[in-house]
Amino acid sequence: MSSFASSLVSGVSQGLLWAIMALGVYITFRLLDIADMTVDGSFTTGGAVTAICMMAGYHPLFAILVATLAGMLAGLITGILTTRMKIPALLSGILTQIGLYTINLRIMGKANIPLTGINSQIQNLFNWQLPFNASRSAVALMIGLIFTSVIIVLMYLFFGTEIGAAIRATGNNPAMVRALGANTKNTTLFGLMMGNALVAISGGLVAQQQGYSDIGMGTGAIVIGLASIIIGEVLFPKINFWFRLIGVAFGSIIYRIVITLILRYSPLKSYDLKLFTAIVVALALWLPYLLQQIREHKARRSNIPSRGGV
Amino acid sequence: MLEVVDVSKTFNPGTVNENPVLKGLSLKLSPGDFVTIIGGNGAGKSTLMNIISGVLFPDHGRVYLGTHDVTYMPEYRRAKFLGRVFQDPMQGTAGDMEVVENLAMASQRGSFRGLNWNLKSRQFAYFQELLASLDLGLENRLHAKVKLLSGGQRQALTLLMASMNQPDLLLLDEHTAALDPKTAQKVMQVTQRVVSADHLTTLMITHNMQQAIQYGNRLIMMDSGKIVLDIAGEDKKELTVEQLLAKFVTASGNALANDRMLLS
Ligand SMILES: Nc1ncnc2c1ncn2[C@@H]1O[C@H](COP(=O)(O)OP(=O)(O)OP(=O)(O)O)[C@@H](O)[C@H]1O
Ligand SMILES: [Mg+2]
Repeated sequence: MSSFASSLVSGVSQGLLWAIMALGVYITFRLLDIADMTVDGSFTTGGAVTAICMMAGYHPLFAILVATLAGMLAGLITGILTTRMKIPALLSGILTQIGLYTINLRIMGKANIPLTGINSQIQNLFNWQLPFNASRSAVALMIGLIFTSVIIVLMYLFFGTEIGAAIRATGNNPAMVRALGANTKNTTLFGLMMGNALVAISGGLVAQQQGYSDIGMGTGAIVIGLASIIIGEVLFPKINFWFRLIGVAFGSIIYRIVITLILRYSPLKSYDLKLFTAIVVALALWLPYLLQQIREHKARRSNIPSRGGV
Repeated sequence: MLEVVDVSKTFNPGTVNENPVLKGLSLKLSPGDFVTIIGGNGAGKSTLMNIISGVLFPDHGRVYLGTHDVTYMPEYRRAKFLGRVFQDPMQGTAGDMEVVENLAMASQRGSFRGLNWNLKSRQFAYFQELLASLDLGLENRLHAKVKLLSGGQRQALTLLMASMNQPDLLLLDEHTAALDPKTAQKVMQVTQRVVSADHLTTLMITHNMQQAIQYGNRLIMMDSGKIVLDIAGEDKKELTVEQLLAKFVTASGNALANDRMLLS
């Protein structure tokens, strides 16, 4: 494979694994209308829990299951802070994220757990032998595709249910949801738990794929999630809920491909990427307001007085 | 049906902004009553409605719906007894969701929300029939996002949603105030039809005196947190706007001031 093709494949498989995180952010950011800062912490929690489960000899899928539960717990904490203790959602997420730093270190016992090399007897999803001597990146692609597709289907089904619709409506119009008899404290809590469960699954899979869990692996995850959502919304038609969810995964893949290509073909180093991503997301979030200002500006210029004032 | 007993509410108690809004107000509605409420700005009409619906809790007094004491029942739990339409057309519906999704959610008011599909094909014909009865062409726009509808269409949709499952009490807080006169007229027609069809007990705040006289079987006037006028039956039927204004001055000692008041 040419180096360009291999960076494409690597970008796609990475993008699929991170897409699950972006889908989690989609639940909180787009459906609940909350910028949930828990994500940076719960992504690492997913990686940390997966790593210690695998070190303890558990099956790598079981490790992901435990990570899912840990992610739900993280979302529950943020949910309690904001719905039961009335701390603003943004601050609640930041508080959980800070607290999780300590908890993640306690879970791992150290800042980094390698899952390869000396620990190569450990089972890892990404070491599975596929028929036809499939390459390691093909295996990663398969696993990413399976997890992301299953999660998209489950999300589509869930948000079509009565409780799922109530969660979607909560981000849209909480007063109406209460008037129609649903407890918006609980719908918010559920949404935060689901979102962070997905984020932790993604963290667990990324840890397995990269072969280590690290205390800093979730730093900036929320921004990457937002970038993926926005890229998906700009480049992918928003015909229905299927397209929206697939668009988020698509955005995550595009983001990863761009990052891989930048690292390979530009003088930027990996530590430059966070600034790059922050700038891109800031510009993208500015875009709707900018377009509105341009429209108003044009309208003002074409609104020429037909006669002089007083 | 509804019984409000000696309810008081003061905002910001113990501060310089202390504002006693309701002062020992009592009100009793019989089943099938359609009561209109008028009153000046800040008289406490919306506050009364918020206390009935559980958005606010009273400092003193009780609220009963049927045989239930709902004084401190959370808003989302007493929603099973109540249908509500608000002044702001945005407030009663979820704009990013489809017309049919909004109707479906309204049909679940008061029942447990589980993992059944929100949209049930067996309900579609019923929803379509309801929408067709509005005569606004909405029956062909089941899958349109509600934010694409006009204010009047949204209010009419909210009315359908609020009256679904026959609530024990329908609460309307100036629900035509944000609409142009023609649309307001149309929404009032729908209101009248929905209320009479199911004999809904209704409490309607309005700033339009003519509306207050024309609709319902009983008229209440509020002034600084109290009911100052309560006219029902034959007396109400013979009422004119001029008489109503005069009665208000006698009852309250002031001229009626409401910057949205329509005397027509
Ligand atoms: N949540 C609140 N906190 C503090 N003060 C409030 C609150 N809600 C209402 N008030 C005050 O209570 C008073 C009564 O308000 P309310 O909305 O009940 O009046 P209203 O009769 O509905 O008037 P309008 O005709 O203007 O709608 C007003 O002075 C208002 O400023
Ligand atoms: Mg009011």
